[in-house]
Amino acid sequence: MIVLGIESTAHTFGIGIVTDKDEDFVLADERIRYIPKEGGIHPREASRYFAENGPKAIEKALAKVDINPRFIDAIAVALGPGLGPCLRVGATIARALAVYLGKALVPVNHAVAHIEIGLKTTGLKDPVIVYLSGGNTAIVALVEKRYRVFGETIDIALGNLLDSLARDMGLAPPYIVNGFHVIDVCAEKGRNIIEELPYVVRGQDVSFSGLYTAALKVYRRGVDIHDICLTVREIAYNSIIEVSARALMHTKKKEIMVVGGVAASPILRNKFEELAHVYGANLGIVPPEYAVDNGVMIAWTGLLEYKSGITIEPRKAIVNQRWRVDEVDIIWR
Amino acid sequence: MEIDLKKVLSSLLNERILLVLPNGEEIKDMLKDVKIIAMGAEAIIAKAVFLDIDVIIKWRFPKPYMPQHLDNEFRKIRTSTEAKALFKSIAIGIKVPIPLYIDDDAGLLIMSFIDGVSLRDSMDSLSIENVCEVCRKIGLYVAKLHKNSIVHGDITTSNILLEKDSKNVYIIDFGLTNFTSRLEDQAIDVHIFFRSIESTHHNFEDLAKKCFIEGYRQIRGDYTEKVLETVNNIRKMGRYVAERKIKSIWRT
Repeated sequence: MIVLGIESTAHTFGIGIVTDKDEDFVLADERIRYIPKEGGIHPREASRYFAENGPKAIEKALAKVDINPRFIDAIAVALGPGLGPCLRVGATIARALAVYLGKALVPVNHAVAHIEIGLKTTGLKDPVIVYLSGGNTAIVALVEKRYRVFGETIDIALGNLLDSLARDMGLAPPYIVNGFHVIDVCAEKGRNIIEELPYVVRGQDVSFSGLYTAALKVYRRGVDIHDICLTVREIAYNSIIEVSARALMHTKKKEIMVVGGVAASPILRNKFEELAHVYGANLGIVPPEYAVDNGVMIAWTGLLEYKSGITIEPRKAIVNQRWRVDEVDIIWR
Repeated sequence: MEIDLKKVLSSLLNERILLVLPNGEEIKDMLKDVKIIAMGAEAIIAKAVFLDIDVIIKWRFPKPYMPQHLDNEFRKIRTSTEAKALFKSIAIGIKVPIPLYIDDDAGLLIMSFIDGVSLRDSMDSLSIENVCEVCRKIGLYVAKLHKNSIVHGDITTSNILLEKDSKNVYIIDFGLTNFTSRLEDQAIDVHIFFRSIESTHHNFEDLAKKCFIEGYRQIRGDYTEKVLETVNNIRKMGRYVAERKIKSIWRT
C-alpha cells in the first residue's frame, strides 16, 4: 500500500510518500519552508509561497519514487489544526489530486500525525505523549480510543513563548541556529536565576503568558539578557517536566514520548532523560527530522487511517483551523 | 531512592523516647517501619510508625533536572504551604491528613495515615449513587476551601481518597495550594477537577460534574454561576477550541 501525504498547516509545505513496510517505509520526503524576512509567519504570505512552490515539491517527490501516480492508493491531507490560508492550499491540492487520480482522500489531524510518527519512529507502545511545538503544548495519552489531554497550556505554547521572546529581545530571526534555539544558546552564558519571574503550574496545566510579560519587563529594565534566557528556559522547561511527571504518575504508564518541533531541543532532551531515569520510564524522542512539520507523518497517519477504512468525500474535505487532538477517534489502536 | 530517604530520616530513625508511666518506664522508637509505598510526581510517599501512630511520610526529593537553588526553594515552599493548608483545612472542617512533623528545609512532611483508595482507582467499582455522593462531597469541600481563600491547585481524582470502612472522603496533596480568593484561581481548581474526570473517567463525566456542582452550590449559592462561567471562559482559552470567538474588529 502506498499513501501520499500533504502537510501545509504552518510554515512547512511537505509531501511524504510512505508504504506499509516495517523498514524503509519512507519513499519520498520533500519539504519547502516559508522563511519570513522578519517577524513571524504571515499566513497570507506563507500560503502564497506554498501555492507557488508546492507543485514543484509534489513533482520532485513523485520523481523520487519513480512510480506511476496511479499506483498510489490514497491521498492524505492535514485538514487542521493550523493557519487557515496555509491549510487551504494543501487541501485544495489534495482534493484535486484525489479526484484527478480517482483515489481515496484521507483526512488527517496534524497533532495526531505528530503522535503517530513518534510512535512509529520511537517504537514505543503506550506512552504519555508530550507534544511541544510552536503552537502546541499538551500532555496527552491514549485512553479508550482517543488521545485525551491530561494537561496543556492555558494560554500560549512553549514554542510561541521562546520565539516571541527571542524576537522581542532582538535575538531572532533566525530562531534555530545549528539545531539550538537562540534562547537556549543565549542561556548558556546566564549565571543567575531571576527570582521575580513567575513559575506557573496549575494542576496538570502550564501557563506561559505571565512569564513572557515578566521577562520582557525585566529586559526593558536592563537586566542581563543571558540571565533572562536562562531563567525563562529553566522555568518553562521545568514546568513542562513537572506536568509530564504528573501525567506519568496519574496514568501509571511506563513510557514517555516527546514529539513536535521543540522536541529537537538538546537541552530539553537532557531534562527528559533525567526525568525518565528518576521514574524508571522508557523515553522516546522523535528524531529531529520528523520532530518538525513534514509530509511523511501525514502520509503515515493517512495510511493507518485508510487501512481502518477512514476516508472523506472530496467535497466534504473542508479545513478546520481548530481541530483538537482529543476530537479524533483513534480506531486503529 | 530508598537509601536517600533513609538518609533524610536518619536523625528521626535514631531517636528514642523515654516514656515515664505510672507502672514503670518504656523506651520507644521515634520513627520505625519505614516502607516506601509510592512515588508521586514530585515526592516519595512512605508508610511508617511515628510516635506509635500510623503515618505517611512525604519527602519532596531533589530533582536532578532542576537548577539546585530553584529546586531547594520550591521544595521548601511547597512543603510549608502544604502543612499550612492542611492545618487550615482541618480548622474549617474538611477531612485531610493531620500534619505531625515538618522539616521544610529537607522537604519532609509527616502526616497521619489514611487507610483508603484513591478515587481514581475506585471510581469504576462505585455505584452510580455513590459516585454522585462522593462528587457532591468533593464539591462541598472545594467550595468550603474557596470560601476560606484556599485554592487546592491540583484537585484531580488521584488526590481524593475514600477511606476503606467509613467511606469518608479525604482530600490530599496540597503542594500546589494558593491562599487567594481570586475568582480565576477558583475556576481553575474546578476546571482541573472536571478535566481529570473527562480524561480518566469520561463515562461518568456528566454525572460527576452535575453532583460536584450541586455540592459546590450548597456552600456558595449564586456565586457558583460566576465560578462556572469563568470555568467556561478558561476552557475557551485552550488551544484550538472551536467555540471561541475571535474578537478582532476591523478598524479604519
